[in-house]
Amino acid sequence: MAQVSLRDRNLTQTRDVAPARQKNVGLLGVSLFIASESMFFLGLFLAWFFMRNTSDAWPPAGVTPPPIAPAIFNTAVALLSAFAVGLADRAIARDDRRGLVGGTVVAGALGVIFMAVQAIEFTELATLAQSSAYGSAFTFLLLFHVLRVFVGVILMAVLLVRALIGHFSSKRRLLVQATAMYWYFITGVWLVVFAVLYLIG
Amino acid sequence: MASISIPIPLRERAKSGVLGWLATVDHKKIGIMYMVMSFAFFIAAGLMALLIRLQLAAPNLQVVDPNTYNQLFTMHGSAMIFLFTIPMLVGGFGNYFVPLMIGARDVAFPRLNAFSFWITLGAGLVMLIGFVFGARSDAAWTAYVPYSTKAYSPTVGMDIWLIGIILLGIGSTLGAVNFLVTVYSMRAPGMTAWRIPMFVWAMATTAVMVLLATPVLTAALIMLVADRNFNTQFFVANRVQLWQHMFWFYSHPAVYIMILPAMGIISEIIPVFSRKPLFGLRAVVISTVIIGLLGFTTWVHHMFVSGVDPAIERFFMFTTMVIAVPTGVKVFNWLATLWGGSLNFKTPLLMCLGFLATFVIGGISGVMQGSIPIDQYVHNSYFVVAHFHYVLFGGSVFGIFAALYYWGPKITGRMFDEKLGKLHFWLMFIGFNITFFPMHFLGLQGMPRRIATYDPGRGWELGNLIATIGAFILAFSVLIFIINAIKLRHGERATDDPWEGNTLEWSTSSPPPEYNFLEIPTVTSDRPLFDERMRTPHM
Amino acid sequence: MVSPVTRDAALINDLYNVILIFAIIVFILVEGLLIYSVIRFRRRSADEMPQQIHGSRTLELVWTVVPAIVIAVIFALSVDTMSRMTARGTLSNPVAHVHAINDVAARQRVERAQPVDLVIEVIGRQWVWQYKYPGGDGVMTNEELVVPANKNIRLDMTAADVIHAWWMPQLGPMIYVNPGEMSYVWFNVPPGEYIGQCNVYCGVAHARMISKVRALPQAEYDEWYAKQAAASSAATRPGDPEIGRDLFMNGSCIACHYIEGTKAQGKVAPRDLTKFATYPTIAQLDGFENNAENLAKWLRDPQAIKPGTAMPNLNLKAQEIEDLVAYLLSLK
Ligand code: HEA
Ligand code: HEA
Ligand code: HEC
Ligand code: CUA
Ligand SMILES: [Cu+2]
Repeated sequence: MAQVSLRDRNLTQTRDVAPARQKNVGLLGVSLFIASESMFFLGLFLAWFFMRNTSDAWPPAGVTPPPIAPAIFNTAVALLSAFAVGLADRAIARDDRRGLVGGTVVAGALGVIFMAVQAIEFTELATLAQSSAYGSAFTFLLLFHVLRVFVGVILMAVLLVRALIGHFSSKRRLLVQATAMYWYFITGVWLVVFAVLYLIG
Repeated sequence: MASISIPIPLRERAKSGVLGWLATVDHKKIGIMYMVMSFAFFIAAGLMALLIRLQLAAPNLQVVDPNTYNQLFTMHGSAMIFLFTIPMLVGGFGNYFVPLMIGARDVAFPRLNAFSFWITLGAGLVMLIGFVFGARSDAAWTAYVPYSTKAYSPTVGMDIWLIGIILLGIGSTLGAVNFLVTVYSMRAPGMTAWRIPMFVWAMATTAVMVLLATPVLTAALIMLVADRNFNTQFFVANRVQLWQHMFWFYSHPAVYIMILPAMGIISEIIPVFSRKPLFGLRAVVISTVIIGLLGFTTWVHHMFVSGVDPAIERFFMFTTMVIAVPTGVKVFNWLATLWGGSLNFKTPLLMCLGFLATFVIGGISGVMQGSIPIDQYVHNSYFVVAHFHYVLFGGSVFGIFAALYYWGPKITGRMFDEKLGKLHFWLMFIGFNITFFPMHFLGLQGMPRRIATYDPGRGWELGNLIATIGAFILAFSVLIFIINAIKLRHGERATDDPWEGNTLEWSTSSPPPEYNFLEIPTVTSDRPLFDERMRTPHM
Repeated sequence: MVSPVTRDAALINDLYNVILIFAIIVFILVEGLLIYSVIRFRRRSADEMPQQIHGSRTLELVWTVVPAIVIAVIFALSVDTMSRMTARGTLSNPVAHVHAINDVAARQRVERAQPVDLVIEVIGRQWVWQYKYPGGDGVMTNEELVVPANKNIRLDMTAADVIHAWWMPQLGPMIYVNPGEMSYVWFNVPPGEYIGQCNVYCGVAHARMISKVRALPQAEYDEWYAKQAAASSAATRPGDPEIGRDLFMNGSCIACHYIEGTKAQGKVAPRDLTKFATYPTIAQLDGFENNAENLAKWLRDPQAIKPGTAMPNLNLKAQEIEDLVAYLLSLK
């Protein structure tokens, strides 16, 4: 019998089971992974609010919160990049590979800009992190968010390279969809981070 | 049996030998590796328990010095929970039997599965090797701050412990994703929700709990690592409860992560050995899911004397006690399954009866602790130690041995020696109760846990001595199991279906081939094999 | 349970006994059904086929509702007990926790909770309980708390380092004593001696962090207190090595110190004291010669001699110091 790849094997096996069920196996995996990632951030947010509620002053006396301007700028960047990812995904659904390439380039570039802005901030955050619980939680939320952006940018690069060698089509775009989902998730987390750290304080 | 024919995929020919194991992505081989690994950690952690019991056998003994004692119970607890019970149930049985029971040829993401195993093994080895070479944590498995911060636990052992647990968390989270996708999308044709075997239901619920609870612990662990090594300020004084909240947000669900699969196991075995369907299958499934959900709402019962707002405490007292109701539903349904059955007292069933007899005691003492005033008396005493060994050993470990005896023939193709099996069961059952029942009284007599020794004259001598004797009976019983397992090589050959099983794993050969099933069966009830037997009376 | 001597402890005990009855009923029911089935339903022949019963809605309902009622009763009883325990109406918790040490509002609630005759400050530290008496004459004890009997006592507790827990089983509920927070307990005990110990794991000598309460009739208490007040300033007789040894072996010293062949097996202090008298200096401090005078200074306040040392100030009385010095210098 011919050798069959893993993915195909699952397809053959489950085709007769429930066609609708198995189609989104990969995406289901990604959604579950995202659920778990959300809980990680939920944990950090809970820590933030717990410490906020048990402290006399928040931020504590003598600690100045970082400026809000870069964060506002980054919020715009994040939203734009999510838009670009959406376009890229939509494009490949129409078999428009050039649209995919364009979308990933824009989104990836915006991701890099986002990271650059954060990196500039981090030079100051390092001392903030050691100043107080406020500073530590602040830094952690930014740090672990930006690590996700980093992963997202790498995924973008993978998409780009594979799109350039001609991978993906309207029928085979699982990785594009998965990356898009993850990217939306990162953007969503950023909005919450922004609201909690900078707006609520 | 009606079945459909699907071309059997061949991977690059199953490699044999060491490489075959190291490079495998076969869920069965991975399952076996998990089982062997966890059992090894069980022996290691059990030997630590024996040292603990020796030290406490009489007042003011110095079998080990207090520092070593503290390191021993820290590693004993951590290893039993993170390196034995969870990987054995979820990684071992879950991996091996979930795909078989749903009629699949593997899990959804086989390579991710292998990755989960290696990361778990790596973390376990790091923790154990660190322990052997003296890099030990002594902060208890709960690692409360500020004791676990740099100021009071300056050793690198603490960092190793923290990093080990982080890695274990990553391994089990990935595993959970895998299980859920597998169960959702790879079931045999006809396996609708109510035809999914109970064990699979339990594993799916467990996987959801792992998925949602673990990341919170991971966050807390990373925060502590950062506090210790990068001078962040999360766990400074005035906030000692933060760690406790984050820790128990994971670790209370974790206790259900350890019991639900064991409950799933006995829900499979009891019907087979009573020749009856599981009584109230739907009620059992629903209560499993409810336990899983409620499990997320009770963590503060570990903090009833920590200084939490009384109104909040009362809420958690309520949710804690409520869990007794769905758990009771399961217990009564198991009893009803036995009732009127045709009970075949083979070792697997005995282990299930052991589970029932002892778990109930642990459950009841759990409800007692759930009452805030009582917890303000028994918290952190040996009453609690008795409680959790009754649920963990009496529940999970009896469940694990039930599974080993039940599925052993399927995995190895050989039958266990029944006589030794029964001897193992009785010694373990008796030894277990001798070890842990007296601990209830020790706790009520005011003996705190985690003490390296104690003075005479407080009424604790007898109870401790008895417990120590019991622990050695227990160890002896485990020794008998090991002998039985070694004798397996020359055991009687197992047929495909030695127990007249109900679920799909018994429809394939023992041990199953790489691809599990030649043909994927079509399922028409919750007991496909039982129906099959009924159609062909003489088997 | 250990026989209760306070109202709160008695309430807990009563609740425990009631719940125990429910527990025993559930236990007998489950084990009874189990044993009955095991005896009654063993397989008699290889092809025996029992009736295939898949379930019963009525039964499911029964064993959902009945335990739910039992649980509701247990819950109600527990809440009722909580509301009847001391300090009712303030924090509705028999033992009170206040977050920040300087939380004024909470502090006032505690003050109003119940009239008290004596307030004692308690510090939990690795690995000794220290009790500071009010009155400004510097009376302070370690490990053993002496109180007047049948009086309302309040302990204002905090921790100096890690979490400890106050647990005197006969005196009522246990409570964590957290660093940076205040915890309070109220009690009123008959004359007698009570023992308990720290109940949160706090390090090497956690097992040795004993707490004792000795309740004396008022007159005897006053006498004791007067003696303490005097003793904290001067010794009345020369040091006695026998008494010193008892102090050492029954005190917190053994938590940290090692003396071969004795109960003192602590491993916190760097040097063992088996042959202490032969060391030329104390605490390996250059120029701090090992003699009676210096040793007394060291024991009175180690921090003053060697700032930052891990040995705490144990607030020893002058007489105790004399006795300990005599004992320590006999170790050759
Ligand atoms: C497998 C693990 C497991 C399981 C299943 C449970 C189950 C339960 N546990 Fe346990 N628990 C632990 C493992 C587990 N626990 C561990 C490890 C600790 C200590 C951690 C540490 O500090 O190190 C702990 C500690 C612990 C505490 C904290 C004690 C303290 O430190 O002060 C409490 C308090 O409420 C508690 C309660 C319960 C309850 C109410 C249940 C319930 O789920 C039990 C429900 C079951 C039944 C009740 C029996 C069957 C029901 C019936 C037959 C119906 C009729 C019954 C009645 C009407 C009562 N547990
Ligand atoms: C699944 C979980 C699990 C299991 C199975 C066990 C099993 C055992 N536990 Fe464990 N225990 C915990 C989980 C578990 N424990 C946890 C979470 C803690 C809390 C830790 C903390 O406080 O942080 C704890 C704490 C704990 C304490 C309290 C320590 C303290 O607070 O000071 C004690 C004391 O007796 C104890 C005893 C035992 C014994 C005797 C066994 C026995 O059942 C072990 C039996 C097994 C063996 C003995 C090994 C196999 C035997 C052989 C290989 C035979 C050959 C050997 C010889 C005869 C030499 N345990
Ligand atoms: C919390 C732990 C702790 C307790 C309790 C404690 N000690 Fe110490 N002790 C130490 C440490 C640590 C040192 C070493 C100090 C140093 O070198 O900085 C020390 C040093 C000493 C020394 C000097 C030893 C030497 O090596 O020169 C003497 C004497 C001594 N302690 C006596 C006592 C007595 C008596 C008590 C009880 C009343 C006591 N200690 C209680 C921790 C403790
Ligand atoms: Cu202090 Cu334990
Ligand atoms: Cu719990």
